[in-house]
Amino acid sequence: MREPEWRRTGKMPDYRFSLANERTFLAWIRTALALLAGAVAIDQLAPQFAPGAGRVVLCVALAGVGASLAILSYRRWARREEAMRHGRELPHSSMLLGMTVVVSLAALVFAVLILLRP
Amino acid sequence: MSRTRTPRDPGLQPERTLLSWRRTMLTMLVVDLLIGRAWLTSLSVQPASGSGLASASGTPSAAAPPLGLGACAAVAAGTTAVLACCAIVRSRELKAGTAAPPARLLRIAAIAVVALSAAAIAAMLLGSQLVRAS
Repeated sequence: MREPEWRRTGKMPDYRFSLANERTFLAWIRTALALLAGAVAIDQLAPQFAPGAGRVVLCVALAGVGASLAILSYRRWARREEAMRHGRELPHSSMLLGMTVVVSLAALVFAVLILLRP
Repeated sequence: MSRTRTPRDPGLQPERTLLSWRRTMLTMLVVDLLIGRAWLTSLSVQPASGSGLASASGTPSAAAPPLGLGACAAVAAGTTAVLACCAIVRSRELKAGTAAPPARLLRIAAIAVVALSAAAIAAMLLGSQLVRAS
């Protein structure tokens, strides 16, 4: 795996900005890992949480969001560093809105499942 | 004054980034514990619930369910090792200066997490099928 092409264009951004960008990447990776932990915990350690098929769909969806977050976090980091290198405005990302919707939906589904639990 | 070549950053930027890597490793360890616990639980539960049937009919079905979780636990160990290597490499860089992270370091870390997610999804689907089949 070589360094990507865009890393040789433009000029190196201020180290404070590249380190902040790196920390943001790591925060998203942690979010992905946390979603994964939640999926495994519900699937394996809380068998009474929801009826069989629903639980598996929920857990696979959570883990799937975790996987896409890991991919998106790298892409987001790369796009932002590229923009910084060329002095452009940082690109708009719909990750925040997407995660807000996902977390709200998950909370809603959990609340319903807990309330309906026999 | 300063022992390092680069002057100390007043905003402690490298230190904060270093701690961010450590937090990420801690989160990874939590995921490891959960997967490991789930795997050990499935190991101890499965033979007990299936022992009567499995030993009587002689089918090895009792050994099958933990397979997905076992593979998932192995992938989790691999992901942890990869992330630990990334964190160690990056910590050395951050202790020496304020260089930006190499793109491939972050790419490897992201790919490792994707691989773990895929293994977890496979284990969940495999587990659900076996539950339905039994």
